Order: sequence, then C-alpha cells, then structure tokens
Amino acid sequence: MTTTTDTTEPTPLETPATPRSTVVRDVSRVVAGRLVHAALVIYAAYSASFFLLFVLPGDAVLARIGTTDTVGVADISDLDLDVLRDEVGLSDSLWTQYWNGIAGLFRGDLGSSLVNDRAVTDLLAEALPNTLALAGLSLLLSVPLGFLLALLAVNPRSRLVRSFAALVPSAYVSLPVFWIGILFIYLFSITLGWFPSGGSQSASALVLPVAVLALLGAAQFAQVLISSLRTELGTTYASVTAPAKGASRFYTLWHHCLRNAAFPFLAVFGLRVGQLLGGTVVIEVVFSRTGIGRLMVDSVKAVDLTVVLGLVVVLAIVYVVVNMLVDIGYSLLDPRLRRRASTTQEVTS
Amino acid sequence: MTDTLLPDTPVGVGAAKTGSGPVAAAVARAAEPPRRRRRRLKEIHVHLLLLAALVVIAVFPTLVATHDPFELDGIPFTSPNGTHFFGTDEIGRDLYSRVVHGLQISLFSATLAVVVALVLGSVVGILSGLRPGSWLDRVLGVGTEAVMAVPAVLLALAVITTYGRGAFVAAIAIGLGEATGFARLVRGVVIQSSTFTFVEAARTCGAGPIRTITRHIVPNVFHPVLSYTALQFGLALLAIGSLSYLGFGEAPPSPEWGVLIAGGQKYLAHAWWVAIIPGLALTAVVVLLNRIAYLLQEDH
Repeated sequence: MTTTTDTTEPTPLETPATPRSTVVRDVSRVVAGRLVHAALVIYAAYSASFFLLFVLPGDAVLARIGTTDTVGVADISDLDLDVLRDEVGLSDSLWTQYWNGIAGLFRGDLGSSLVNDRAVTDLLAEALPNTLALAGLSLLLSVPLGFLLALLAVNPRSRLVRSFAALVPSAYVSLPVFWIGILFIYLFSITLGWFPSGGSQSASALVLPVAVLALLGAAQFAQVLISSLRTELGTTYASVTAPAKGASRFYTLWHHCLRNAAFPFLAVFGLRVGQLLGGTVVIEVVFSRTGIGRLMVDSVKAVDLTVVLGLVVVLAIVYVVVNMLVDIGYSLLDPRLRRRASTTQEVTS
Repeated sequence: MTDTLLPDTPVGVGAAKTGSGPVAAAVARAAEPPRRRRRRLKEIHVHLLLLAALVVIAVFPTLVATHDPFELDGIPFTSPNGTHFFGTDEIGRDLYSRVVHGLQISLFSATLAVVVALVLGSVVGILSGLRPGSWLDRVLGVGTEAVMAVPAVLLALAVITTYGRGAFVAAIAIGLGEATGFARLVRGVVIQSSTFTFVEAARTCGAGPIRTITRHIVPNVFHPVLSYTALQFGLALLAIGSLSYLGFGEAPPSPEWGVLIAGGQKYLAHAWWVAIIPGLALTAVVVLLNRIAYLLQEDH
C-alpha cells in the first residue's frame, strides 16, 4: 500500500474529514476480517459435507464396480472388496481420510474419482468452461436487463404501465426454471425453429439457456430495485427537492435515486451468484449441455463421493469469494459500514 | 432500525427479502384508509380459500379426478378434450387425473420441507439472537453461512447421494437448505424485538429467557415469519419439482409434477401438453403461495 499524504483541507463541518490513510486502514481491516471469516466458512462447508457424505450407511466402494446395491456383487468375495477399499483409501479411519482431505484442499488437490480414478480437479477443469460461459453470460445480461425492468416499473407516468411492469418480474420468479427451459424449447426450437434445442457445441445452442437464466436474474434484480427505488422516490430529496429545482422524474431517478438504491441490489447480486450456479445444474440437464450440472448429476447417480464433495467445495468457494468481494465493495462505497466494522473489531479483539 | 434488523454482515437472505422491515411497513400502513384495508383483507381471504381448496384436493384427490391415474384408459397422445381435460400421455393415461394426484405428493413434501426449515431455523435463530455477538452466535453464524454457500440443489443432491433418492429424502434436504433463511430472519427479529420496551419491562419484572421468548417475543415475530414461510413454501415446491425432474425424487410411474414434466419432454415435438400442463399447474400453485406471502407481509 502506498503511503498517502494528508491533503484534505479542514472542513467547517463538525465531523472531521477522513484522511485517506484512515480509509485504507479501515478497508484493509474489513478485508482482513472478511478473509478470516471466508476461510472459516469454507472450512465449515468442507467438514459438514465430508461428514455428511462419508459417514454413510451404504458402501462407497461399490461405486467403483459400477453398482449401488449388492445384487450384482455376489461373485466378488469380501477380500476383493477390501483390496478395492485399500486402493482408493476408503479403508483408512474416517479421521485419517478427513485430515488427508483437508491437507489436499490446501495443495489444491481434491482427490480422484471413485469410479474412474481421474483427478477431481481434471474433471472440474473439463466441465467448468461450459458452465462459466453460461453463468457468466447470463449474469452479464441480467444486470442491465434488471435495471431496465425496474426503471420501466417506476418511471412511466401511466399507472397501468407501471403496475404491469412491476408484475412481470414477480410472475417470472414463480416459474419453475426447468419448465421455462422446456417452454422455450417448444416455442423457439420446435415451433419456430430459430435455435437448436440443446447440445453444447455451437454458439447458437447457448442462446436459449442464457435467455432463461438471464431473465431469471433480471427478474430478481428488478424486484429488489423496484422496491428500493419506490422507497427512494418517497423521500424528501426525490419527491420535493428535485422537482422544486426543475428536475424531471427520469433525471431524479437516474441521477439521485439509482445510486442509493444500489445497496440492496449489491446484496442480492452476491446471493444471485450462488443461486445461478444451482440453476445452471438444472438448465444444463434441460438443454443436455455438458458442464458442472451434468457432472454433478452423473456423479450423484454413480455415488461418486469424492467428485460430489469436490463440486460442493468448489462452488462454496466461488460463493464465498463473490460475497466477500461484495462486502468489501460495500465498505468502499459506504463509510458508515466501514467505521462500524472497525469499531466492532476493536471491541471484540 | 434497519441496523438492528440486518445481520452483522450486510449480505443475507433476510436482509434482502424483508430488508425494509415489518415495522416500517406497519408504520406506513397505519394511515391506510379503511376501505382499502377491507378490500385487501377480502383478497387475503379469497386466496386462503383457494389454498384450502387445494389442500382438500390434495387429501382427497378422487373427489375431482375423473380417471385412475395409473390406468391405461385412452388412446396415447390424445390432445386435451371433453373426456380427457388435459389429454393423455404416451401410454394413454389421463393427464388431468395424474396432475390432480400429483398435487398430493408435491404439497406434502413441500410441507415437510418447510416444517424442517421452520423448526431448525427457529431454533438456530433464537439461540443466536438471544445474545448477539456471543461465541454461540458466531459459531452458528459461520455454520449458517457454510450451508448457504452451497447452492440448494447441490446440497440436496449431496444428501441424496448419501441417503438415496425419494420424495421424503428430497424434502428433508430442501428443508435443510431453506433453514438458513429462517435462521437469519428469526435472529434478526429476535434481536430487534428484544429492544422493545415491553420486553425490557418483562425482563425487569424477573421473567426468565424462556418466558420472555414464548410470551413476549414469539407473538411479535410471528407475522413476518408467517409471510416468509408462505414464500419458502413456494420455493420448496419449485425445488422439489427440480429434484424430481432431475430424477432424484419420486420414481417414474408416480404422478409427481417434476416426473411428469421430465417424462413429457421427450414427446415435446408432437404432444406439447404432456410436459407443459403439469408445469402450468406447478406455476399456478407457486403464484398463489407467493401472492399469499405478499398479502400477509402487507397486512402487518
């Protein structure tokens, strides 16, 4: 961090101006606090899913021979199963497996698949690009779309237009994601023949799944933005001061209200990333695309514990990192939170 | 006021969904004209009646079903008509009766999910809300966030990997994921309501923590939690539908809606109704529940 000279002039206001060095110190304190918290959350997520998955009534080694019940394994003697268990490390005590897993996590090694011995990180690296393209594109599109919908629900003079535009997002979030996917396939692929109904090779196959997820994100963002924009429009500065100085409704919304309404939006943005990753699982199955979703469904069907655990941990890390960035963004934008965070830390430490 | 309602971290389901706070809404509603209030109450009653009708249908599906849901009593892929209201599926079963019977499974598993979420979330929320900032609050907070960090579908899939597929397991798994939202919400309202004067007064008069909760705090937090419950009920329906669509809920001959949609997708090109109509039914129920949640929230 560069040392900053205090260039702020003394202000006549009562509150002392914050020198930039304090801002840097406060923000870095927030960052440090969030980092520790994030590490704890990831550790807790890993431990919980490890014990959920590995303290199980069934026998994980059966996944290795491609069956989940004992019907087809009558000809395999117990000795063979023990050898198999040794091979994949399932015969170690639970704690040894747990500590090996934690140690592997630090090295970036998530173990290997119980079914085909491939490293979980390789499987993930194969599946991730497709999913990231889908999730990233839809997130990118959903932000401007959400803002547009929210402005449509707040800005027009006609009450009818406004209430209709406000109804659209709340109706859309009540729809089952997989069903919208099927509806889109029926409308745009089977009836109109504009886009392919599935697959993951061509770019045009990306259009329909991205549309489903982007609309869902936009609807969620719009819901939050509409309610916060309505609150902002009711405040004195927007309902009295701005019209008094001659600002139009749109000018008030665009220049004054949007900035204040952005805070709840940020919170939802962080949550949306988590839901989006869950939504892509279903959407990838609907549109028969390869990716994280397909990998997840396949490994759950094959009871491939290590792959399931790896997926859960990686997605938890993505979620935690995004939300950490959102929190830090908060403290950069809002000095009150920054100060509160630093005082609570001083109290507790 | 919002400061006490928000959890320590500014990111949270409770903060996002009910951010402006039930109290703020109540203040805004105090000046509402009586005629509008009456109209809104009437609207709530109509919606609750519809929900009651759905519950009756779910308990006694034979009251409205016209055919046996498993009987092959029609020509395959008959489009919707007078005898088969929703048409027939690929082997000639009456789709209308199957949808009606499917309501039972969907509503009951969603109820199970919400009950699990409500009980677990309330216990965690009350425990951590009683002494905000204590070590118990911190441990539970990290645990809640760890569960939130895993997308709900994935969490449910992980539970299913361990305990096998089935509507029962899927419902409990969904409830586990939804409990985090309840925990956040309950923690927030408990912290908020423990600052009320009458709660402090009760404490001063010597009421213990349990009495304070049951007699003074619970009646106050009941309303926002009820509204949130209706909302989560709808989400649970959607999540259970997704899980059975993916093939981890009920098994195929069952008329569960997710199973019906998954089965119908294969024949989308020449029999759209098999996949689209069960989805419409699911949407209608979720819209009803969301509307009830909205009206309850307004009502406070």
